[in-house]
Amino acid sequence: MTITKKQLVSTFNIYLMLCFGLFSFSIQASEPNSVSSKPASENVWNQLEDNKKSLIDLNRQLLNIEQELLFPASTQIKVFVSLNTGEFFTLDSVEIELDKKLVSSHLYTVRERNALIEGAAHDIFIGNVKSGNHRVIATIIGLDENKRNVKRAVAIDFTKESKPIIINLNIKDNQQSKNTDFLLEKIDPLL
Amino acid sequence: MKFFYKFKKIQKSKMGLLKFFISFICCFSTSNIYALQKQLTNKDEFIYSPLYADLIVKNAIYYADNEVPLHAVSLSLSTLNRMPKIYYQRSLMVVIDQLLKMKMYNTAYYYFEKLHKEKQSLITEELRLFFAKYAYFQNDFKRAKSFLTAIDFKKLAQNDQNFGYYLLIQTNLSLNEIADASETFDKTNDKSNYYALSLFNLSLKNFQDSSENFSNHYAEKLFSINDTKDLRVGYLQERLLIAQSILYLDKAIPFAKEKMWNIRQESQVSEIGKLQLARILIKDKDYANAQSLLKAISQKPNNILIYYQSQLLLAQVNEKLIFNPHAVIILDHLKKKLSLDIKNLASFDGQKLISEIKNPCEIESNIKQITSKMTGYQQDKIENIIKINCELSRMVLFDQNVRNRFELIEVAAIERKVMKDRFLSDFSLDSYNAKFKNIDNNARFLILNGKDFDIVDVLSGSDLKNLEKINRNKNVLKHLTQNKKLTLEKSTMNYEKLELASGNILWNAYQNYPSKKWLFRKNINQMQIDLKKTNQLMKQIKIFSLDANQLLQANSLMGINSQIAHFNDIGNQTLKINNYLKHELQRIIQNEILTLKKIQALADYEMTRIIDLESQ
Repeated sequence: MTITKKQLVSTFNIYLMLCFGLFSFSIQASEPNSVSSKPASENVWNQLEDNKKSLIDLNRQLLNIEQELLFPASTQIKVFVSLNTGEFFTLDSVEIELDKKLVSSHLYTVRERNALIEGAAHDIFIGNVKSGNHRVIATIIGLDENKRNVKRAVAIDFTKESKPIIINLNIKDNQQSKNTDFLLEKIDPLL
Repeated sequence: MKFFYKFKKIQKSKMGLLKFFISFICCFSTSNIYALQKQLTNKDEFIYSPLYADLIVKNAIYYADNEVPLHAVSLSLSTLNRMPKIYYQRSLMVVIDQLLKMKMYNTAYYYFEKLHKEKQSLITEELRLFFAKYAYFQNDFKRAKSFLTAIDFKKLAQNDQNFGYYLLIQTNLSLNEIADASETFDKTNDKSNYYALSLFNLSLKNFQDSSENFSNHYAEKLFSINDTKDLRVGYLQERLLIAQSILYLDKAIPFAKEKMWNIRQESQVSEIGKLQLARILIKDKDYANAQSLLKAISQKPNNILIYYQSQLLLAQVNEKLIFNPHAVIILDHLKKKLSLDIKNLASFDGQKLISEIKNPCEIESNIKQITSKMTGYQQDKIENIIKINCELSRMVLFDQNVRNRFELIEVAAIERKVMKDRFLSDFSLDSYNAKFKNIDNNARFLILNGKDFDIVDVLSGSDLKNLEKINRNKNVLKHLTQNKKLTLEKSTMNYEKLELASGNILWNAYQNYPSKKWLFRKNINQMQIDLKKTNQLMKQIKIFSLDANQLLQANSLMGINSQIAHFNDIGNQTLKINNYLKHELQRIIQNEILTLKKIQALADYEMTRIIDLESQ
């Protein structure tokens, strides 16, 4: 696809407006400001905190805009990894394939693994898909309880409609079978 | 209509989406962009499902656990409005937790309050306590009380519980809500310092409000916590203060007497407390008990002034008990002892005693050895002198280490000269290359290590010029220069350390033991010797640096000069301190003698009075 000069100018205009818009957001969006009614010059720490607050606001807005513009709900797909294990399986890495294309892979550090074990969830992939039928395959690599390498793959088929697609790769110990279950679950994002 | 036509058309392609945004954004002014942002971010019309909300909260926790607080907070805040209630709170908890990590207390406080208003069980009691403490120290007592009253104290650990109750009592007192404070106090069941502190504050507040009966109730409670092992002596002194207050009011002497009599059994009651009790007993005309108490104090006094005061009180008691001869004997004994002490103090020669000590740090055995012949007041003095001597001897050892280092520099300088001569005489390209290679490696090693200076000494002056001429490796020159700087920086750092250590020890010693000027003088003399030596060494280093092809150039030399000036300043300062100490010491000794003379005069007066009474 060739981009014309006009299109380039238009794109530049978008960025210009977005930057300007962001600047105005950071000035206007200041909900916790009511707490520190004192003038900022009174205290350096307050100033520092105000700056941090602005930074958080800006970051939050960027995140929102990024989500809305880059991954609109109508095309969005998100894959999470959550863990409920530790006894029979030690997670090493996860690879995500979308329609037979590798879209994401992550090698977990000890800290990241510990966070997952303690109940956190990792957003391993966020992207866009067209409406229609798709397939996600997650390949999980790790060690079993005897420190042997384990490589397992699980897949899920889904149909993309107007809602975002949320998929959770849940790795959990199965006490009955003394083994680990790898499940890809589709989650409805809205009530 | 044109706009909507265009809108439909551009949707047909990907680029159309971009064009749509151009038109869309251009339609809004900057103020409208905010509205757009609100529209984008605060879509309250839909709420996340619990499963997805759970995943989002867990995702924020993932970033929090991986030390990315900014992202964790941003993520939580950006999804907050779409969260179902329970996840909203969890998300807010993540935000608060991360804000606290980022030391954004005001903002965390804002969100906590938001959460607190909903009175959710999700907030941990510890967090409530934390923000209550925060509010209290912000003097926001009403909020602090609101947070504290929401705490389920039973869920807190014992120590936190005690602190929580203490904080609540204090908050109530600050709000002048004494009844609430009392009610809270009655709920507490701990025997910690917080308990005593709360009690003391309550008593004090009641005293201030002149509600005597009420205050006596708490004063009685305060007296009743004798058995608490955790209590520090400070609290006992506070109890004594209460007793004094009662005495001052002159309304509850029997009560004070009874309680004071009970607490005197405690070993940790200070002698001042016992003396106070004796005064109460005398005021209450209980001379027999006062006599036995004063005798007990006199037998083993730790403080000479208390001894004198107890002796004077004892004389008074004896007089009241019509033991006039006894009183006269006591006063006579007291007078003799006072004269002796004044004489001892004036001619006290600590230096001689110290010189007899072999190892200054063996405090206990030294004290036993020296003070076996002495009592109370002198023992205190000697113990202090030995402690200070021990500290000074440690400092001397430190000095010694630093001196050793500089002796090493001196040795290295001599070796350098010898090696340089030898090097120049042996000079040939091959041998030079060999040496150079070796030196190059060593220089690298030194850069890594930043430790020694001998190698620098090998290559200096004209050697370096030769190096430049040969142009084998300019980097070596750089390395050596760097290393030389490091060496000099290290030397100056050592002197700074010495200065700091000496200064600190001297100041501590001065603060704690102001009465022994000779020790300071000795130390100062030692420092002056060191400083002279430093100056010499610094000069040597300066010469050495100049010699080494002006490696250090003006900057480093200026550094050395300023160091020398700095050390001279220290020398002057120590001299000033020395003079100040001298005057201070004279003043202290004069004051001590004056106090003793006053007591002597009082004893004289007492004796004359008793003899007059007898003659009548």
